[in-house]
Amino acid sequence: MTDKTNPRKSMVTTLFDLEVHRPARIFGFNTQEDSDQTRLREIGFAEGDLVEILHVGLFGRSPLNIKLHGTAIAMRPNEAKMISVIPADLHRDMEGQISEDVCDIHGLPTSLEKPCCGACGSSESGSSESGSSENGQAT
Amino acid sequence: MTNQTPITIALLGAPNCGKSSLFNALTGGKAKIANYPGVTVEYAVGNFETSSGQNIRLMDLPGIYGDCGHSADERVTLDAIHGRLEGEQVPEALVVVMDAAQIRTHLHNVLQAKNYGLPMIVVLNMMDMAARDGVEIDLPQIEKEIGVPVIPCVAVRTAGRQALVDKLNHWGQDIADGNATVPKSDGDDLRILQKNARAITRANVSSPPAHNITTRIDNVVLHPIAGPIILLAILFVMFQAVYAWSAPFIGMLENLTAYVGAFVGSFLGEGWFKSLLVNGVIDGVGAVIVFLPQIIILFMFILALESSGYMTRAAFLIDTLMAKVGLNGRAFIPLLSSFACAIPGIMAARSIENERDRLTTIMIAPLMTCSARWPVYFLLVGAFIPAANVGIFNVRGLIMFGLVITGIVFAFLAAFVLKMTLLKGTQSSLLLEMPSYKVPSLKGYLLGLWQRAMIFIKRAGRIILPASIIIWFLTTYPNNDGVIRNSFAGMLGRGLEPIFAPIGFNLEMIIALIPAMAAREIAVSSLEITYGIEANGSADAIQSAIAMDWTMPMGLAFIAWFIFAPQCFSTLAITRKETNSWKWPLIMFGYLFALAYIAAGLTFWGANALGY
Repeated sequence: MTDKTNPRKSMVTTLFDLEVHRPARIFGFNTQEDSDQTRLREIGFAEGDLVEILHVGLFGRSPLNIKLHGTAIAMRPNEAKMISVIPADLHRDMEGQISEDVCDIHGLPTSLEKPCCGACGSSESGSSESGSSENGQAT
Repeated sequence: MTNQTPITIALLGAPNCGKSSLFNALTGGKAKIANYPGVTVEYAVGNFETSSGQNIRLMDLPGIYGDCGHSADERVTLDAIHGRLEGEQVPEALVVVMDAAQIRTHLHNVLQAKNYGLPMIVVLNMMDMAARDGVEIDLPQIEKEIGVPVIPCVAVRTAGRQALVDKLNHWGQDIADGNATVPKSDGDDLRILQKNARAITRANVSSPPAHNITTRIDNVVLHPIAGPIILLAILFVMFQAVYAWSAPFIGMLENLTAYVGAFVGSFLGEGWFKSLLVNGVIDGVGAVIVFLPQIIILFMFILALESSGYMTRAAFLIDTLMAKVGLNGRAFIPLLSSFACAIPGIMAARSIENERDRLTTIMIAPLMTCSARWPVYFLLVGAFIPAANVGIFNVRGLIMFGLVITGIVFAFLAAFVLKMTLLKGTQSSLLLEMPSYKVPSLKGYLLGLWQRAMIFIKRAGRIILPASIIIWFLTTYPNNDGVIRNSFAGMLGRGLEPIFAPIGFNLEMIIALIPAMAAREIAVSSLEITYGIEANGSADAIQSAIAMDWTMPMGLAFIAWFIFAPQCFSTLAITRKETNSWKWPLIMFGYLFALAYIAAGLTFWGANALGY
């Protein structure tokens, strides 16, 4: 019930249900098994990434060819359903501007079960970047 | 200079980032290269020496996306890195290869590799492709932020490898001296690694919004209607070309074999030695070798498709069908490899993480038309199908196309049945990276073609030659009277006649089935030898010999048998090894034998009933 009253949540859909050629940003993963999420992450999907359905098969949207950055990854419907996305044109920041920064998803009034926590450029991310440069100096 | 103890360096990286290309280029190795993920499923080791004299053992590993080891091929890589491979030590350092066009998607894998606690460098491969697509990379900054040296590289070009070769020159020395730096771990939380990786790429890599010839090609090639039509058209042209282009060369080779036979024969007096050399060795080996042109043309197509990147598109197009019969999307690549030979195909099934899906794939792999079956088809189709044209199409080409498709259809049916019974349960999965299209380098392409041709020729030397001699002996003795029925092979064949006579096989056909266990194309040699002996040494026209001796239904039944052709020791042996049980090879043999028998029987009785 609360989900329906949450306007932001209603923007969240699955990659499978997204219109072809409508770019969207990854919001999170709704996987039953941890290993499924790991596999999706390992091959390159992460929160905030821009994705787009490039091609679908003739029947039942199976399989789907997904654009992810400079690459394309083919997947089946059940895999596309594990990735939840917000269409990029709806993905606005707190000021209502269309945002490219996924961190703004954190601005959502979240009663969402798995809030986005991934690749954003917030202060948290800043600290990790400095962590990386420490490594750089270490070698 | 070379008396130093070699150091071992492992090549690590995501699938299809060019590890094997780099491996081949540096070591002169012959690892298989193609433009799709999952080509390498086993590790390989090669040696080379840096100009400073350091000996390096380079280890090529299957590509991995992470450190979880979901599938068996990924576990090979992890075992190698952790020193768990039998007879191999922990490598002393890692070269992490990454496709320069894919930094954004794969950089977290590089960060993850820092956890292995080994000195490492990053090789940004395919820099030329990235530059073509307009990707700009701030290398010094990336190097600083990930804390590991980053070397730009074009693995397939000598000049493109120079920076890496220079780096290995002194880095190799550092490793040998124990002075190489071990990078500091960023932790092992995948989310955090991804986050770091994204921050690094966002700051240092700029790629233009929509480059992409690949997408434009895919818009046509993956079109729901046009795509399947194009796929069928490509296959169709391939089978037509195999016949249309090879005819003159085949004739030349046939004449050559006959000439060599006659020439050698003219020096030898009548007797067992002449018979062995002419009937056994020259006819037996020659019978198969004459099909070399067709094999080369076939692989001209297959290699072009493999190295261009089209094969994953074919996988995309037939995935709906694969999903319907319960096959894992990843099964496509093992099944594709099985068109060369079921053995690498069955090994390639390692990339399928779900065990039941892997077993299903292994069980149906022998139904793909392996290249050993082609000579048998060529012989039989040539003998029983007229060289006519239907419209613009060569009838023999059409029949070959039909035979290959029939194999595929039965493979899918078998998969469906297996998934309903013994191997219930599916984890529907595809997750296949679609690589960018590439124009293969002419050198690499010709080298690949040469390797395929050599495999075919070497089989003739190693397997068909000894088999031919054995067959010659068994069909000639004890009586040496030119009557096969009285020979050792004839006695064996007579024992099997009650089984095979009902489906129309005569003694020569039955005898051919047995040595074909060693390699299916030996059936061709065996027929050549037996008919040669019966004709007292003049069977240079084996096709006309069997066309005269066999009825049409017999010929068609034999063709039908070879669609399934359960007999191949090597396939059963690799199945035994990869499944670690006798159960699966036995089931494989049983069901393929049953299908072959029924198919041959139905063809024989059906063709007889129709009055052919």
